[in-house]
Amino acid sequence: MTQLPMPATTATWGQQSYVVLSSAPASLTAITAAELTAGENVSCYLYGDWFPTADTEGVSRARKACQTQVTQAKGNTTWQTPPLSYSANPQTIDTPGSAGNEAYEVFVPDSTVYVVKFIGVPGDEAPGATDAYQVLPLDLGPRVWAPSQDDAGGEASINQAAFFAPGYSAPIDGVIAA
Amino acid sequence: MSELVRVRANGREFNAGRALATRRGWEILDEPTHQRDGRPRPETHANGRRLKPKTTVAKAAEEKKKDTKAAVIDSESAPTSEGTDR
Repeated sequence: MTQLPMPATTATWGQQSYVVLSSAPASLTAITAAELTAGENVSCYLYGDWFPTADTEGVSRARKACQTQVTQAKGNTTWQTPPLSYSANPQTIDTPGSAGNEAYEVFVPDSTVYVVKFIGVPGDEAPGATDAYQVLPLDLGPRVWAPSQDDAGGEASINQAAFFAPGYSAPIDGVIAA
Repeated sequence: MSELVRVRANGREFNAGRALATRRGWEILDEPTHQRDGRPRPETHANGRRLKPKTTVAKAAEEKKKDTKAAVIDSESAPTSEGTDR
């Protein structure tokens, strides 16, 4: 009996990169390298993983008179974006450009930002040309201070609700253009 | 001092945080960030023109070209053992 070879996979642990654009890219499916460079890489500020999820509900079809069984069909899909949780320094937030507050400065409540998420790209490196991504246009909620959820006592962090910006309902896939 | 400001940068006008705008050296405009109905002002070109999604007809044109070609081939009847009907 021969054993099947394991398929190639992609790690997500430490292999996620997040770049935030404050201004809309010309094309969401082909963000250019220059537009990406102008964004803020927040990979080292965000805690944990940040993966949007989707729920697809089933809808029952109307039963015909001759039927005793009905089937379910695919219904609405609702994408959800989890709150963003990132580190910030509460005593220096009033000073623009202060160290460690880059994520705080880009995630402004009530603003629209474009979060470009790369899976399988090291978070501590800048994503490069032809990298595939998911972009999420987000409408941001208020910032809520909290200790980070770890067992070491916690760093000062912010939890911020994020929802799809008006006109968008799902992540958009794309590849970085030259 | 409101944190969200209207800025002009890279040929665009949009809402951004004051701290980010200061750090990046973006021009901060004395303009509202929200419309009268309470919704945020959408991003525009620097001259106020509305942003439109980038569209291209190249793909559609290529599809159409392919379809037309296929249709021409379809319209010719298949050859029989006696040759074509032409």
